[in-house]
Amino acid sequence: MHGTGVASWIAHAGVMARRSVRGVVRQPQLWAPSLVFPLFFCAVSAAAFGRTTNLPGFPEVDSFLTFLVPATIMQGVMFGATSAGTEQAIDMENGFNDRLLAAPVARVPLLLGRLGGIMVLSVVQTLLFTAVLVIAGASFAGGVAGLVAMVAVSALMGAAVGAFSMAIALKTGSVEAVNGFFPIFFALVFLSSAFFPPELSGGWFESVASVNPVTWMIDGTRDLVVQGWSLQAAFRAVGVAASLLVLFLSLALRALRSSLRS
Amino acid sequence: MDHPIVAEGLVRRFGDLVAVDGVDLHVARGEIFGFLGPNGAGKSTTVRMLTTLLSLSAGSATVAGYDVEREPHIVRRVIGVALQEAAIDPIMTGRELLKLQSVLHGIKGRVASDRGDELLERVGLTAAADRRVGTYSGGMKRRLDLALSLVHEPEVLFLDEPTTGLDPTSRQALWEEVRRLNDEFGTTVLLTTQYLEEADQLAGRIAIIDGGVIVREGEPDQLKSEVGSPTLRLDIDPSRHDEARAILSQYGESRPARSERVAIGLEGGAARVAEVVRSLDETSIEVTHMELDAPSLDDVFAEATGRRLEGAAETGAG
Amino acid sequence: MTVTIDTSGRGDAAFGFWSSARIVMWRGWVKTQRMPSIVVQSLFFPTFFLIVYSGLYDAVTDLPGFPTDDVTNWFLPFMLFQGAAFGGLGAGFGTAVDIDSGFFDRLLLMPGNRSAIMVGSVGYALLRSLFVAVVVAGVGVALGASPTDWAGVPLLALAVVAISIMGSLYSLALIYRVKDQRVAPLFPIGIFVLLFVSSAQVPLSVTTGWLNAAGRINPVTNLLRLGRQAFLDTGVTWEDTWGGLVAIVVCTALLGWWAERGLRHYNP
Repeated sequence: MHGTGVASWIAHAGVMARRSVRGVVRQPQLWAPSLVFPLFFCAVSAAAFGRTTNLPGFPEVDSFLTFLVPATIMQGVMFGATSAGTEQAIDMENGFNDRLLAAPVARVPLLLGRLGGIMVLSVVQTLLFTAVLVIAGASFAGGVAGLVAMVAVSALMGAAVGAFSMAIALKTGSVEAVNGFFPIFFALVFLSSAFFPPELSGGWFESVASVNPVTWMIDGTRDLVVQGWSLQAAFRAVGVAASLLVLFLSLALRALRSSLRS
Repeated sequence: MDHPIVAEGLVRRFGDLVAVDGVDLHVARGEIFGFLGPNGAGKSTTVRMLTTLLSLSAGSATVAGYDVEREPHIVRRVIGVALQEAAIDPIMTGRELLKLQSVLHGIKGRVASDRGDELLERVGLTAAADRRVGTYSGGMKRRLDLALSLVHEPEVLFLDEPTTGLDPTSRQALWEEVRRLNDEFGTTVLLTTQYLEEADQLAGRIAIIDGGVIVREGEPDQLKSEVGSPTLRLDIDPSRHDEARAILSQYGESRPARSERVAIGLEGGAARVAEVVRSLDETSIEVTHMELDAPSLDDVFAEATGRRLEGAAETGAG
Repeated sequence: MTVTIDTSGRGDAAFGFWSSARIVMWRGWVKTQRMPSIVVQSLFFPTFFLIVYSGLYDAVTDLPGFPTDDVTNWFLPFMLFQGAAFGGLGAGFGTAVDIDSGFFDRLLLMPGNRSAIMVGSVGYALLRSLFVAVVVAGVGVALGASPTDWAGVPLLALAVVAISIMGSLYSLALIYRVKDQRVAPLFPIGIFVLLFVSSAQVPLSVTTGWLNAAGRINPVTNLLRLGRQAFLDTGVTWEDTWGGLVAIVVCTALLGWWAERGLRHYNP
């Protein structure tokens, strides 16, 4: 009875994607913080640390606001993507998952559908943030190609974080646990080059930031924003995001398999 | 007569919704007064107004002689309240909650701990006193809630749906306890309930509330007899039915019954059953089986509102 | 046995005010100990930010206008404030849970002055905040923070206590009005904005544009000026002290009034 044909796979995933987009859009308390918090933090930091771009050794950039563009977008995307895991956990607490699993549809498309929904939301959020930041005075040197690359990074990263939080949700089935893991991404962003050049601060921070994959991704994206399109920068940013997605997606699929067995 | 609870023209609106629409209550000292009605009838809203937790939209009320709006602090000293959904903190222990409740009511030190022990004993929770309330059963929680409402020896006790959701045994135990309190200390009790049996068993007087309005008020038996006479059904050999009907007609009107039976609406109620049997016996009509179906509170409710109380179908089938 | 209850007087305020406040505070503290995850959560952000900021923004103190070269000295008072303010919100969160469960009705049924509930809630949130503050201060010292003027330490402690009380009163004023647990997660937003739109990250003279204008009128800037004196090269001066003291008195009084009014008119 299982619909295993490619067409039905895609159909199920599409339904799930639409459902997850609708689910998020209808609950402002889920998406509002992911819009407000990063933009507020960006506004405050830009005004507080505006003069630091004159410090000797600060990478060439026209303003601190421009420097913060990748950080703000990534923070927003990660923040927003966690809501997917929250959704999954809420569904599980409500027993929706049991109904889904009992229905004659393949399970993997359900998970992929949700991730597809997150990717859509991440893309929308990235375009919105870019527009807001450019209106506020940030420059964007990357052009259309740069923007496309940045949007791709956001979509992949959103899906990666979503896959991670869904892995947690599937393993624990608890909304609290998903929210409890959110600080991990928060910490990863703060322990990277997102908010200040680590080479200026030096010390332990520089060492930690240099091995943090978020730094590699942010640096690549920042090169697109500040210096303009380069295949090498785009490849670096997209590569990191895609690798994280593969890693977390395999975790989520394993969690899904073991939740089906139990 | 002395009335510790008096309400006149009590009204409570929530926006456009009128939850309580002109309720008058006079509860006498020492009585157990039952407030019976379905969910959303306005029982809890009335109790919340009487216990100073909700302001009045119109009307007035006094508890133990104190005005609930002008003298709420004094009202709170003399009332004990066990609210619906047992508002009990699951991660505290029973003893800790008793301590908190005592201090909030101005009882401290040894007096408080002695009183706490006495109450735990009374409601049978001594062994569970130091366990977290989260581990208690539903019945234990309600019993603790009752004990909490008693720390300051209140003159008037409000119990808002004290047994909703409890199993029959736990319900019986709680009824026993309420009766005992009423007997020993003469505590005036106002209890709300959606269970007919509870109102019937426990309350000396009841008010039936529906849609925010009291539709009937009085002693349960009196209310039932107002609905009509009980139905007396007699199993009699069909060959003698005509004779039997002739005799029975002097005790009440004939009512429909299955073929082997004769039924009447017995005027004067159960007290006249013996008389009926004697009359039949005198003419040697043998009665093999007899049933007397008194009207239930549900019949009273149905007669007043045109509806049956939820979940009362099995008791109200008469 | 009987307990005599004097029903003659109306002296609500005399009806065991402090013992009631103390028992409400005691309950909050007992609960906090049984839910260590709450303490861990309120420790996480100030501790994490202190560690990260002292690494991330190490170079910022090189900017002209910074009154210290030590980045940990600069950020420690702010992180203490953050811990205290969010710890203070615990009063509102706890009350929100109580309102949701119906337990708050039990407290409201106390015959004495209901303000004791408010004072007790503030008290237990303060205990929690102080616990967080001690841990964060310990982490700060471990990272190399050290007071330059010990006379400023009691002033910093005073500011931390005041911030916790203000955070509590703010959250209580809101929850007494909205009476809905679902709104509680929005409470930190106000605190977050107030804390950051100030001299929290860099001195006012270093800020640019709107932040400079807004930070100037934000009382948190005054409180930071008061609290930071223990750790700056300038040491304690009356000039940096009085503004903070005024802010404490005025803000606490206003927030206290706001919260108390909310509770007084609580009965829906």
